[in-house]
Amino acid sequence: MTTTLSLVLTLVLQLASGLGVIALLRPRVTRSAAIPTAVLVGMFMHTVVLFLFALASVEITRSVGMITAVIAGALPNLFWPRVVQSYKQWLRTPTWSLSLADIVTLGFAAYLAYAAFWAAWYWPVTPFDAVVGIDLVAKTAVEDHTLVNRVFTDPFLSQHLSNQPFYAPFAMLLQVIYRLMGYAHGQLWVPIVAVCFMWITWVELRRMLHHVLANVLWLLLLLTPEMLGYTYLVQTDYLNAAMFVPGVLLLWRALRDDDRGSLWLSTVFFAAVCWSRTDGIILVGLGLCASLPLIARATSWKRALTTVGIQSAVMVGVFALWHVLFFNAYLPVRPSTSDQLLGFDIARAGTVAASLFTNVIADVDYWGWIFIIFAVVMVANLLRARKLEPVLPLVWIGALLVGFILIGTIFSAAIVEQTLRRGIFKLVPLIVVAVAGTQLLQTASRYLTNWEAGRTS
Amino acid sequence: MTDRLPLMSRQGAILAIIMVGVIYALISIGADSEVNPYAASYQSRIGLYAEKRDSLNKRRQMSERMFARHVANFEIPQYIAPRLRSTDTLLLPPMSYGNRYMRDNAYWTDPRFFTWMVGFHNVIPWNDAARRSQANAYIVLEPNMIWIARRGSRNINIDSLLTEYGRAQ
Repeated sequence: MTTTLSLVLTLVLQLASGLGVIALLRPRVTRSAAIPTAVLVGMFMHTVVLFLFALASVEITRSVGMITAVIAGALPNLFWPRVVQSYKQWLRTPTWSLSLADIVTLGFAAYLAYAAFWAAWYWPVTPFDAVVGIDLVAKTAVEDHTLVNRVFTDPFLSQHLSNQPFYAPFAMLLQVIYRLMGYAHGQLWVPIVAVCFMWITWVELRRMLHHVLANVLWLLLLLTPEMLGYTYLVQTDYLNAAMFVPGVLLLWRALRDDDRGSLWLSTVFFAAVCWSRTDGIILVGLGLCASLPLIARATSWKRALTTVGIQSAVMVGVFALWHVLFFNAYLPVRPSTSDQLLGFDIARAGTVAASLFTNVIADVDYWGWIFIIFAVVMVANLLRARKLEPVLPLVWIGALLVGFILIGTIFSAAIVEQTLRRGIFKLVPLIVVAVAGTQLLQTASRYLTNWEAGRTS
Repeated sequence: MTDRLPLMSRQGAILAIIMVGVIYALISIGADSEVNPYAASYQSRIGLYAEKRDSLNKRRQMSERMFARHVANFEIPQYIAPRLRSTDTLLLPPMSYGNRYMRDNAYWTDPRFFTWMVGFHNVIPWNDAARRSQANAYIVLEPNMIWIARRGSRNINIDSLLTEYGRAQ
């Protein structure tokens, strides 16, 4: 089977898997958002099935890569009578609502996507963390046909692994899948994740704002300097953000529209966050705790506690698969996490916070103007509307900042200028969405819509 | 915004032209100054490759692309690995020693990076003080020169080399 055919088949099966999950949970997502959402969910499902095969000591081969894709694709669709309703809706004739400005923006975005696909296909794996971590494990797993490979058993190397080979396995397993297909550097999944992630944010911004405002904000997100390179460079952080942000958006939708389906789909994304970065469990945990009053206000305290309890249980289960079960029952070596735990110290937290804001967030070379725009719009909106809004995205932005400071304080390996810098990938899209949700931009949006429609008010 | 507006209208065309202007301004204006971070970033991450894509695509060998990306960090392990004997246990020098002779950081001195580049060999990093004495092969770097030294070699005193490693650190 050729590499390209394997890629197409795998993508179709991952899409089927994700669509099946969405059809099972029945969130109110539009068809345009369902496709990228499904690809991301399908990638998650596929890697989990592959990992379960590896736990069962099945040899990791090219056929197993494909068999696990088939299983991941079939599994949620086994409940056919429930899922078929959604498929019928998705198969209706599409209705186009694109504007000329959309076409211009999407044309440019398509060019960026092409450049990202080319770079991911052309260049070898470059970031140091990926070379000595996820890709080293993935490359050796493909050679040795097992995840418990020479990286962890070689008497010379296994003594010098540091943290990177033990990173949460989502990106590593995607590298395994793409290397099994025959891609010399794997990594072609990176632009696929980027396209799906940006597609989801575009749909969300378009839903919230007039198309020109939405497209301008989206361009600022798309071209965020530090994020642009990671649309083709292998790292865990972009993938982590691509799971985190849709999770928060779905939770927001669930509360706004009283949509249980979106709530459970957000749980899938939050589980994928814990599958893609080890610190995800802390950040999502903090976000969910901070959201608890909002969930309770939309439902009841009892229901809110039950919901967050179930979400946490799913996240802990997925987290434990790798970090507890695999580390303790399969691997002959373990990361020295306990050596890196420093304990909380208020002075150190202050240093980390100062460094995070002055050296990372304030640097326009990393994030462009988005933090400046955020500050200006929030202050102007506060003066105009006399309230902080939109509440849920702001709560998660706050939770992320607290989480970063906490992680930077208690883990010596979490270096502000590196680890936490790439953590900001989760923050930037939330900031764009928060800006879009302000009354100020909503008013501007209505004004523009009326002008474009030729209405006077 | 759910209002469905016509695709072709005077206002729609004006807004599309504005979008073209916004895109142009973001990726083109002030690329050489510090005013517009988007333009500089676009140029280095996308524009540069777009300009050179034809010549880059002529590099069909994987090794050429590896060299273009990793330079000496690719070349040095490629040189060392085939010259190792089956009985060799190689001591990788500290990164600072490698840095003296390279423009980039000498990542190849990390055993994980070395393994990623050339596969599994008996290598011990300099910071493994407990096992350092097990090594019987050493890397010597000089400007534009590299070789593997072994104890008893006439060209170099290993103890002096180890002292230099230590000093470099």
